[in-house]
Amino acid sequence: MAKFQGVDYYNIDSLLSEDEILVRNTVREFVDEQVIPIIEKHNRAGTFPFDLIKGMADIGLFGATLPAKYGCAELNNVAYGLMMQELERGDSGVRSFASVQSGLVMYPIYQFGSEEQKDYWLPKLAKGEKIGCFGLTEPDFGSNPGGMITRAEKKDGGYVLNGAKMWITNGTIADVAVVWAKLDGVVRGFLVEKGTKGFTAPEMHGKHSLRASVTPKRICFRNRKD
Amino acid sequence: MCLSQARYGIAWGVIGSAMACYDSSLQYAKSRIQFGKPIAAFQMTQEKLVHMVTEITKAQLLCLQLGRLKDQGKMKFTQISMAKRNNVYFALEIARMARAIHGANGILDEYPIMRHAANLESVITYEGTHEMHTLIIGEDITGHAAFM
Ligand SMILES: Cc1cc2nc3c(=O)[nH]c(=O)nc-3n(C[C@H](O)[C@H](O)[C@H](O)COP(=O)(O)OP(=O)(O)OC[C@H]3O[C@@H](n4cnc5c(N)ncnc54)[C@H](O)[C@@H]3O)c2cc1C
Repeated sequence: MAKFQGVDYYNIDSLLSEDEILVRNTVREFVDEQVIPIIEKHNRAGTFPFDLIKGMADIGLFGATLPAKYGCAELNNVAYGLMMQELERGDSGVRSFASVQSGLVMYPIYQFGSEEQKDYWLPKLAKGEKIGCFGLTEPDFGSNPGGMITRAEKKDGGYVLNGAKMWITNGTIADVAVVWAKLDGVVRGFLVEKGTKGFTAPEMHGKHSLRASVTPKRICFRNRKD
Repeated sequence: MCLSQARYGIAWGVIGSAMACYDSSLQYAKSRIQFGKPIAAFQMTQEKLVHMVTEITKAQLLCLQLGRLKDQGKMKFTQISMAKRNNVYFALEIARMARAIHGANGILDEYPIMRHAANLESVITYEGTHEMHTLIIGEDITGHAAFM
Protein backbone atom coordinates (compact mmCIF):
# COMPACT_ATOMS: atom_id res chain seq x y z
CA MET A 1 0.00 0.00 0.00
CA ALA A 2 1.16 3.53 -0.74
CA LYS A 3 2.47 5.54 2.22
CA PHE A 4 -0.21 7.33 4.24
CA GLN A 5 -0.34 11.04 3.37
CA GLY A 6 -3.00 12.20 5.81
CA VAL A 7 -6.60 13.15 5.10
CA ASP A 8 -7.08 16.91 4.93
CA TYR A 9 -9.90 17.92 2.62
CA TYR A 10 -10.48 21.30 4.28
CA ASN A 11 -6.85 22.43 4.64
CA ILE A 12 -7.15 22.03 8.41
CA ASP A 13 -3.36 21.88 8.57
CA SER A 14 -3.43 25.65 8.04
CA LEU A 15 -5.12 25.94 11.44
CA LEU A 16 -2.34 24.00 13.19
CA SER A 17 0.91 25.44 14.50
CA GLU A 18 4.28 24.21 13.23
CA ASP A 19 4.86 22.44 16.54
CA GLU A 20 1.51 20.67 16.35
CA ILE A 21 2.29 19.44 12.83
CA LEU A 22 5.74 18.30 13.91
CA VAL A 23 4.30 16.27 16.79
CA ARG A 24 1.66 14.77 14.51
CA ASN A 25 4.22 13.78 11.88
CA THR A 26 6.52 12.22 14.48
CA VAL A 27 3.75 9.93 15.69
CA ARG A 28 2.65 9.22 12.11
CA GLU A 29 6.15 8.01 11.28
CA PHE A 30 6.33 5.94 14.46
CA VAL A 31 3.04 4.24 13.53
CA ASP A 32 4.18 3.52 9.96
CA GLU A 33 7.52 2.13 11.05
CA GLN A 34 6.80 0.44 14.37
CA VAL A 35 3.10 -0.27 14.78
CA ILE A 36 1.64 -1.24 11.40
CA PRO A 37 4.27 -3.89 10.55
CA ILE A 38 3.65 -5.88 13.77
CA ILE A 39 0.08 -5.19 14.76
CA GLU A 40 -1.80 -7.88 12.84
CA LYS A 41 0.43 -10.53 14.39
CA HIS A 42 -0.43 -9.31 17.90
CA ASN A 43 -4.08 -8.93 17.02
CA ARG A 44 -4.20 -12.53 15.85
CA ALA A 45 -2.38 -13.84 18.89
CA GLY A 46 -4.28 -11.58 21.29
CA THR A 47 -1.06 -10.20 22.77
CA PHE A 48 -0.04 -6.70 23.76
CA PRO A 49 3.01 -5.39 21.83
CA PHE A 50 5.25 -4.68 24.82
CA ASP A 51 8.12 -3.74 22.52
CA LEU A 52 6.30 -0.54 21.57
CA ILE A 53 6.27 0.91 25.09
CA LYS A 54 9.79 2.33 25.01
CA GLY A 55 9.29 3.90 21.58
CA MET A 56 6.01 5.47 22.68
CA ALA A 57 7.73 6.92 25.75
CA ASP A 58 10.63 8.23 23.64
CA ILE A 59 8.28 10.29 21.46
CA GLY A 60 6.57 11.73 24.54
CA LEU A 61 3.21 9.98 24.25
CA PHE A 62 2.66 9.34 27.95
CA GLY A 63 1.25 12.25 29.94
CA ALA A 64 2.00 14.49 26.95
CA THR A 65 0.28 17.56 28.41
CA LEU A 66 1.89 17.34 31.87
CA PRO A 67 4.84 19.49 33.03
CA ALA A 68 8.40 18.84 31.87
CA LYS A 69 9.59 18.60 35.49
CA TYR A 70 7.98 15.17 35.63
CA GLY A 71 9.68 14.12 32.39
CA CYS A 72 6.59 14.86 30.29
CA ALA A 73 6.39 16.65 26.94
CA GLU A 74 4.28 19.61 28.21
CA LEU A 75 2.33 19.91 24.94
CA ASN A 76 -0.99 21.61 24.39
CA ASN A 77 -4.21 19.63 24.07
CA VAL A 78 -4.42 19.89 20.29
CA ALA A 79 -0.98 18.27 19.97
CA TYR A 80 -2.05 15.55 22.43
CA GLY A 81 -5.20 14.96 20.36
CA LEU A 82 -3.21 14.67 17.16
CA MET A 83 -0.96 12.11 18.85
CA MET A 84 -3.98 9.98 19.75
CA GLN A 85 -5.34 10.31 16.20
CA GLU A 86 -2.12 9.06 14.66
CA LEU A 87 -1.67 6.27 17.17
CA GLU A 88 -5.17 4.96 16.59
CA ARG A 89 -4.55 4.92 12.84
CA GLY A 90 -2.24 2.09 13.88
CA ASP A 91 -4.56 0.37 16.33
CA SER A 92 -7.25 1.28 18.87
CA GLY A 93 -5.78 -1.19 21.36
CA VAL A 94 -2.38 0.51 21.30
CA ARG A 95 -4.11 3.89 21.59
CA SER A 96 -6.14 2.53 24.52
CA PHE A 97 -2.91 1.60 26.29
CA ALA A 98 -1.64 5.16 25.86
CA SER A 99 -4.99 6.73 26.81
CA VAL A 100 -5.15 4.78 30.04
CA GLN A 101 -1.54 5.49 30.96
CA SER A 102 -1.91 9.22 30.19
CA GLY A 103 -5.51 10.23 30.72
CA LEU A 104 -6.67 7.82 33.39
CA VAL A 105 -3.53 7.24 35.46
CA MET A 106 -0.99 10.06 35.07
CA TYR A 107 -3.58 12.81 34.81
CA PRO A 108 -5.47 11.94 38.03
CA ILE A 109 -2.18 11.43 39.89
CA TYR A 110 -1.13 14.88 38.68
CA GLN A 111 -4.49 16.50 39.55
CA PHE A 112 -5.31 14.80 42.84
CA GLY A 113 -2.11 13.09 44.02
CA SER A 114 0.21 14.23 46.81
CA GLU A 115 3.58 15.78 45.90
CA GLU A 116 5.21 12.56 46.99
CA GLN A 117 2.97 10.44 44.72
CA LYS A 118 3.59 12.77 41.76
CA ASP A 119 7.36 12.79 42.20
CA TYR A 120 7.46 9.04 42.56
CA TRP A 121 5.02 7.89 39.86
CA LEU A 122 4.89 10.47 37.08
CA PRO A 123 8.49 10.21 35.80
CA LYS A 124 8.35 6.40 35.83
CA LEU A 125 5.01 6.35 34.03
CA ALA A 126 6.25 8.92 31.49
CA LYS A 127 9.25 6.71 30.67
CA GLY A 128 7.01 3.66 30.42
CA GLU A 129 9.05 1.94 33.17
CA LYS A 130 5.82 1.53 35.10
CA ILE A 131 2.39 0.77 33.67
CA GLY A 132 -0.90 1.96 35.09
CA CYS A 133 -4.56 0.96 34.89
CA PHE A 134 -7.85 2.57 35.91
CA GLY A 135 -10.52 0.61 37.72
CA LEU A 136 -13.97 2.12 37.76
CA THR A 137 -16.28 -0.45 36.11
CA GLU A 138 -17.56 -3.38 38.17
CA PRO A 139 -19.31 -6.60 37.09
CA ASP A 140 -22.69 -5.16 38.13
CA PHE A 141 -22.06 -1.44 37.59
CA GLY A 142 -21.00 -0.17 34.14
CA SER A 143 -22.91 2.86 32.92
CA ASN A 144 -23.93 3.58 36.49
CA PRO A 145 -20.60 3.60 38.36
CA GLY A 146 -22.17 5.57 41.22
CA GLY A 147 -23.76 2.32 42.35
CA MET A 148 -20.37 0.64 42.84
CA ILE A 149 -19.92 -1.92 45.59
CA THR A 150 -16.15 -1.66 46.18
CA ARG A 151 -15.52 -0.17 49.60
CA ALA A 152 -12.57 1.50 51.26
CA GLU A 153 -11.92 1.68 54.97
CA LYS A 154 -9.34 3.64 56.87
CA LYS A 155 -7.03 1.35 58.78
CA ASP A 156 -3.58 1.54 60.37
CA GLY A 157 -2.57 4.78 58.67
CA GLY A 158 -3.68 3.50 55.23
CA TYR A 159 -6.79 2.19 53.53
CA VAL A 160 -8.16 -1.29 53.05
CA LEU A 161 -10.11 -2.01 49.84
CA ASN A 162 -12.66 -4.74 49.21
CA GLY A 163 -14.41 -5.43 45.92
CA ALA A 164 -13.99 -6.43 42.28
CA LYS A 165 -13.46 -4.43 39.11
CA MET A 166 -14.00 -5.68 35.57
CA TRP A 167 -12.92 -4.72 32.03
CA ILE A 168 -9.84 -2.89 33.24
CA THR A 169 -7.52 -2.14 30.29
CA ASN A 170 -3.84 -2.88 31.14
CA GLY A 171 -5.02 -4.52 34.38
CA THR A 172 -3.01 -7.74 33.97
CA ILE A 173 0.27 -5.91 33.29
CA ALA A 174 -0.13 -2.85 35.51
CA ASP A 175 2.29 -1.89 38.27
CA VAL A 176 -0.22 0.54 39.73
CA ALA A 177 -4.00 0.78 39.62
CA VAL A 178 -6.09 3.90 40.14
CA VAL A 179 -9.07 2.27 41.84
CA TRP A 180 -12.37 3.92 42.65
CA ALA A 181 -14.08 2.87 45.85
CA LYS A 182 -16.59 4.27 48.33
CA LEU A 183 -15.20 5.70 51.52
CA ASP A 184 -18.07 6.51 53.92
CA GLY A 185 -20.44 6.49 50.93
CA VAL A 186 -18.38 8.91 48.80
CA VAL A 187 -16.51 7.69 45.67
CA ARG A 188 -12.76 8.31 46.07
CA GLY A 189 -9.66 7.30 44.08
CA PHE A 190 -6.92 5.08 45.53
CA LEU A 191 -3.52 4.04 44.22
CA VAL A 192 -2.99 0.32 44.61
CA GLU A 193 0.42 -1.14 43.83
CA LYS A 194 0.94 -4.51 42.26
CA GLY A 195 2.00 -6.96 44.90
CA THR A 196 -0.37 -5.50 47.50
CA LYS A 197 -1.87 -8.36 49.51
CA GLY A 198 -5.12 -9.62 48.00
CA PHE A 199 -4.63 -7.97 44.57
CA THR A 200 -5.30 -10.42 41.72
CA ALA A 201 -5.90 -9.79 37.99
CA PRO A 202 -6.21 -12.88 35.75
CA GLU A 203 -6.43 -12.37 31.95
CA MET A 204 -9.80 -12.43 30.15
CA HIS A 205 -10.04 -14.69 27.11
CA GLY A 206 -12.39 -14.65 24.12
CA LYS A 207 -12.36 -10.96 23.13
CA HIS A 208 -13.20 -10.27 19.46
CA SER A 209 -12.24 -6.62 19.90
CA LEU A 210 -9.14 -4.75 21.13
CA ARG A 211 -7.19 -7.97 20.87
CA ALA A 212 -3.82 -6.19 20.97
CA SER A 213 -4.75 -4.74 24.37
CA VAL A 214 -4.91 -6.66 27.64
CA THR A 215 -8.02 -6.77 29.79
CA PRO A 216 -8.25 -8.86 32.95
CA LYS A 217 -11.37 -10.86 33.65
CA ARG A 218 -11.64 -9.33 37.04
CA ILE A 219 -9.40 -7.42 39.41
CA CYS A 220 -10.11 -8.42 42.96
CA PHE A 221 -9.20 -6.61 46.13
CA ARG A 222 -9.56 -8.88 49.10
CA ASN A 223 -7.97 -7.27 52.00
CA ARG A 224 -10.54 -7.85 54.62
CA LYS A 225 -9.96 -6.78 58.14
CA ASP A 226 -11.42 -9.96 59.59
CA MET B 1 -12.07 15.28 35.23
CA CYS B 2 -9.86 12.28 34.43
CA LEU B 3 -12.62 10.64 32.39
CA SER B 4 -12.84 13.88 30.42
CA GLN B 5 -9.13 13.71 29.67
CA ALA B 6 -9.34 10.19 28.23
CA ARG B 7 -12.61 10.78 26.39
CA TYR B 8 -11.10 13.83 24.78
CA GLY B 9 -8.26 11.65 23.47
CA ILE B 10 -10.71 9.03 22.20
CA ALA B 11 -12.68 11.62 20.23
CA TRP B 12 -9.44 12.41 18.37
CA GLY B 13 -8.20 8.83 18.29
CA VAL B 14 -11.04 7.34 16.29
CA ILE B 15 -10.39 9.85 13.49
CA GLY B 16 -7.22 7.80 13.01
CA SER B 17 -9.15 4.54 12.64
CA ALA B 18 -11.48 6.23 10.19
CA MET B 19 -8.53 7.62 8.20
CA ALA B 20 -6.93 4.18 7.97
CA CYS B 21 -10.19 2.72 6.64
CA TYR B 22 -10.75 5.56 4.19
CA ASP B 23 -7.17 5.55 2.92
CA SER B 24 -7.24 1.82 2.29
CA SER B 25 -10.67 2.10 0.61
CA LEU B 26 -9.61 4.89 -1.73
CA GLN B 27 -6.52 2.99 -2.85
CA TYR B 28 -8.45 -0.22 -3.24
CA ALA B 29 -11.29 1.41 -5.19
CA LYS B 30 -8.87 2.94 -7.66
CA SER B 31 -7.08 -0.32 -8.34
CA ARG B 32 -9.84 -2.96 -8.27
CA ILE B 33 -11.29 -3.46 -11.75
CA GLN B 34 -14.83 -4.79 -12.29
CA PHE B 35 -16.95 -4.50 -15.47
CA GLY B 36 -13.82 -3.14 -17.14
CA LYS B 37 -13.46 -0.13 -14.85
CA PRO B 38 -11.98 0.68 -11.44
CA ILE B 39 -14.78 0.35 -8.86
CA ALA B 40 -13.95 3.97 -7.90
CA ALA B 41 -15.61 4.96 -11.18
CA PHE B 42 -19.02 3.68 -10.06
CA GLN B 43 -21.42 6.15 -8.50
CA MET B 44 -22.26 3.96 -5.53
CA THR B 45 -18.58 3.58 -4.58
CA GLN B 46 -18.09 7.31 -4.90
CA GLU B 47 -21.05 7.94 -2.61
CA LYS B 48 -19.36 5.81 0.06
CA LEU B 49 -15.98 7.49 -0.34
CA VAL B 50 -17.56 10.95 -0.26
CA HIS B 51 -19.52 10.08 2.87
CA MET B 52 -16.31 8.84 4.52
CA VAL B 53 -14.19 11.88 3.74
CA THR B 54 -17.01 14.26 4.71
CA GLU B 55 -17.51 12.61 8.10
CA ILE B 56 -13.74 12.57 8.70
CA THR B 57 -13.59 16.28 7.92
CA LYS B 58 -16.47 17.08 10.29
CA ALA B 59 -14.83 15.01 13.03
CA GLN B 60 -11.53 16.85 12.53
CA LEU B 61 -13.26 20.22 12.88
CA LEU B 62 -15.17 19.14 16.00
CA CYS B 63 -11.94 17.99 17.63
CA LEU B 64 -9.84 20.95 16.65
CA GLN B 65 -12.31 23.45 18.10
CA LEU B 66 -12.73 21.23 21.19
CA GLY B 67 -8.97 21.24 21.65
CA ARG B 68 -8.72 25.01 21.27
CA LEU B 69 -11.49 25.45 23.87
CA LYS B 70 -9.68 23.02 26.19
CA ASP B 71 -6.42 24.91 25.80
CA GLN B 72 -8.25 28.15 26.65
CA GLY B 73 -9.85 26.52 29.71
CA LYS B 74 -13.34 27.03 28.24
CA MET B 75 -14.32 23.48 27.33
CA LYS B 76 -17.47 21.95 28.85
CA PHE B 77 -17.53 18.20 29.48
CA THR B 78 -20.79 17.97 27.51
CA GLN B 79 -18.85 19.19 24.48
CA ILE B 80 -16.46 16.24 24.86
CA SER B 81 -19.53 13.99 24.91
CA MET B 82 -20.60 15.41 21.56
CA ALA B 83 -17.20 14.77 19.94
CA LYS B 84 -16.82 11.28 21.45
CA ARG B 85 -20.37 10.29 20.53
CA ASN B 86 -20.25 11.62 16.99
CA ASN B 87 -16.75 10.56 16.07
CA VAL B 88 -16.92 6.97 17.29
CA TYR B 89 -20.30 6.48 15.65
CA PHE B 90 -19.06 7.66 12.27
CA ALA B 91 -15.72 5.88 12.55
CA LEU B 92 -17.67 2.65 12.95
CA GLU B 93 -19.90 3.49 10.01
CA ILE B 94 -16.82 4.30 7.93
CA ALA B 95 -15.22 0.98 8.89
CA ARG B 96 -18.32 -0.88 7.72
CA MET B 97 -18.41 1.02 4.42
CA ALA B 98 -14.71 0.30 3.97
CA ARG B 99 -15.39 -3.39 4.44
CA ALA B 100 -17.99 -3.23 1.67
CA ILE B 101 -15.64 -1.42 -0.73
CA HIS B 102 -12.98 -4.09 -0.20
CA GLY B 103 -15.45 -6.84 -1.08
CA ALA B 104 -14.39 -10.26 0.16
CA ASN B 105 -10.85 -8.98 0.72
CA GLY B 106 -12.33 -6.71 3.38
CA ILE B 107 -12.62 -9.62 5.80
CA LEU B 108 -8.93 -10.54 5.59
CA ASP B 109 -6.28 -9.30 8.00
CA GLU B 110 -4.14 -8.35 5.02
CA TYR B 111 -6.20 -5.13 5.27
CA PRO B 112 -6.71 -3.21 8.52
CA ILE B 113 -10.50 -2.89 8.12
CA MET B 114 -11.97 -5.67 10.25
CA ARG B 115 -9.47 -5.01 13.04
CA HIS B 116 -10.53 -1.36 13.20
CA ALA B 117 -14.22 -2.26 12.89
CA ALA B 118 -13.99 -4.81 15.71
CA ASN B 119 -11.93 -2.46 17.89
CA LEU B 120 -14.39 0.37 17.45
CA GLU B 121 -17.14 -1.83 18.93
CA SER B 122 -15.26 -1.52 22.24
CA VAL B 123 -14.55 2.15 21.78
CA ILE B 124 -18.23 2.97 21.27
CA THR B 125 -18.94 1.28 24.64
CA TYR B 126 -16.08 2.29 26.91
CA GLU B 127 -15.57 5.73 28.43
CA GLY B 128 -19.32 6.28 28.37
CA THR B 129 -21.47 4.39 25.89
CA HIS B 130 -22.97 6.13 22.86
CA GLU B 131 -26.28 6.17 24.73
CA MET B 132 -24.84 7.72 27.91
CA HIS B 133 -23.24 10.53 25.92
CA THR B 134 -26.57 11.11 24.18
CA LEU B 135 -28.21 11.50 27.59
CA ILE B 136 -25.46 13.80 28.87
CA ILE B 137 -25.95 16.18 25.93
CA GLY B 138 -29.73 15.70 26.16
CA GLU B 139 -29.74 16.83 29.77
CA ASP B 140 -27.53 19.79 28.95
CA ILE B 141 -29.79 21.15 26.22
CA THR B 142 -33.19 20.31 27.74
CA GLY B 143 -32.53 20.56 31.46
CA HIS B 144 -34.12 17.13 31.94
CA ALA B 145 -31.98 14.20 33.09
CA ALA B 146 -33.24 11.06 31.32
CA PHE B 147 -30.84 8.53 32.86
CA MET B 148 -33.51 6.90 35.01
C1 LIG C 1 -12.25 -3.50 25.82
C2 LIG C 1 -12.78 -2.71 26.97
C3 LIG C 1 -11.92 -2.01 27.79
C4 LIG C 1 -12.41 -1.30 28.91
N1 LIG C 1 -11.53 -0.64 29.74
C5 LIG C 1 -11.97 -0.08 30.90
C6 LIG C 1 -11.05 0.49 31.84
O1 LIG C 1 -9.84 0.56 31.59
N2 LIG C 1 -11.52 0.95 33.04
C7 LIG C 1 -12.86 0.89 33.37
O2 LIG C 1 -13.19 1.31 34.46
N3 LIG C 1 -13.76 0.38 32.48
C8 LIG C 1 -13.35 -0.11 31.25
N4 LIG C 1 -14.26 -0.66 30.36
C9 LIG C 1 -15.66 -0.77 30.76
C10 LIG C 1 -16.59 0.19 30.07
O3 LIG C 1 -16.36 1.51 30.48
C11 LIG C 1 -18.04 -0.26 30.35
O4 LIG C 1 -18.22 -1.46 29.60
C12 LIG C 1 -19.07 0.77 29.99
O5 LIG C 1 -19.09 1.81 30.93
C13 LIG C 1 -20.49 0.18 29.87
O6 LIG C 1 -20.80 -0.59 30.97
P1 LIG C 1 -21.40 -2.07 30.78
O7 LIG C 1 -20.57 -2.81 29.84
O8 LIG C 1 -21.61 -2.63 32.15
O9 LIG C 1 -22.79 -1.84 30.08
P2 LIG C 1 -24.26 -1.44 30.76
O10 LIG C 1 -24.04 -0.29 31.65
O11 LIG C 1 -24.77 -2.71 31.34
O12 LIG C 1 -25.02 -1.03 29.48
C14 LIG C 1 -25.58 -1.97 28.53
C15 LIG C 1 -26.37 -1.16 27.49
O13 LIG C 1 -27.43 -0.45 28.13
C16 LIG C 1 -27.34 0.94 27.84
N5 LIG C 1 -27.79 1.72 29.01
C17 LIG C 1 -27.40 1.61 30.30
N6 LIG C 1 -28.02 2.52 31.07
C18 LIG C 1 -28.83 3.23 30.25
C19 LIG C 1 -29.73 4.34 30.43
N7 LIG C 1 -29.93 4.91 31.64
N8 LIG C 1 -30.38 4.81 29.35
C20 LIG C 1 -30.18 4.28 28.12
N9 LIG C 1 -29.35 3.25 27.88
C21 LIG C 1 -28.66 2.73 28.94
C22 LIG C 1 -25.88 1.20 27.53
O14 LIG C 1 -25.70 2.35 26.73
C23 LIG C 1 -25.51 -0.11 26.79
O15 LIG C 1 -25.91 0.01 25.45
C24 LIG C 1 -13.80 -1.30 29.19
C25 LIG C 1 -14.67 -1.97 28.31
C26 LIG C 1 -14.19 -2.66 27.21
C27 LIG C 1 -15.15 -3.36 26.30
